[in-house]
Amino acid sequence: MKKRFSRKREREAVDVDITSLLDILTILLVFLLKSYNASDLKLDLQKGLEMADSDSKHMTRFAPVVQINKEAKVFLNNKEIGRLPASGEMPALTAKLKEEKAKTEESNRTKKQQYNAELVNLVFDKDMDYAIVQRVMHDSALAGYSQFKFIVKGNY
Amino acid sequence: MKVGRKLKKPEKLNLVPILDSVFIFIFFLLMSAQFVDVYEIGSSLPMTKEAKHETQEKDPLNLTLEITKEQIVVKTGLRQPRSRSFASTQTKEMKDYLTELKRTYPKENTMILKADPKVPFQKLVTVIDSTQAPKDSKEKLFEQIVFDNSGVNK
Repeated sequence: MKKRFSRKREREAVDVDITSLLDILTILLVFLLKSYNASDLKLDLQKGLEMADSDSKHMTRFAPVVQINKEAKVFLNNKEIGRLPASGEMPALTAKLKEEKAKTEESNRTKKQQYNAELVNLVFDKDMDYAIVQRVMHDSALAGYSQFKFIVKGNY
Repeated sequence: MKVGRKLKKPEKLNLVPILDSVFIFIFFLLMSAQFVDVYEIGSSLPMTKEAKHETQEKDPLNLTLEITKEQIVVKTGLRQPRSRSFASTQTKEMKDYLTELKRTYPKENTMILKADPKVPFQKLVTVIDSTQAPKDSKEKLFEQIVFDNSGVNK
């Protein structure tokens, strides 16, 4: 009996046309480079919070982030602290901010990377009354923060 | 006699290393991508400093913006206070007025903001925007913002 596959046919290497793949990659690369943000602040926006639109071009910097949503819930670095009281101060926020400030100062003493311990980032819902903004700034000032940065959405 | 010429096949470029690096680059960009452009507007607590005993001939600017839901009042001057009101929608006119003030007081960059407690945050941001550098210009207006929490006198 003859061997059926006695001779192997020499196969030519298959040419895959990758031009279209390269086109897609280039477009993706350009899009990602265009939307790249060099800021060291990573912001996870809380539910029920719509940022205000602004023409500002100042890049955000790393600092504690206080977010207040439509329901007046307060978040510090994405952790819920509680609801803002109807009036007066919020001691829980001041206490947590003091802890954050102490942490930043400690890190500045021990690590090479230095952060501004006076700076706090504030994110408010765009429909929030100025009265609440005022109160949160007051609580932050009580914790020792003297520089407030309002985080806004660029409208370009 | 004809000389047989061998046709050389064009050599193919080895794109594998560049594709590898492009993939790694894309992965890095995808991981660090933030699809919402976020920026900041700064404000500081007012600081006190010892005043130098200088007799200023020119009346200091002392720019104060009083913001209510309906209007924005721009107040200037200490010795001779002046004020000008703008409707909430007249942000362009207000910007022109502030640009004019900046030309008269080029060294001034501080602005005091007094807002009504009921003013929404978006409105405040829009007013602040109109007191900063115009969109397509390097010229800066009043970048230093100080909040006055004493409120607006209606």
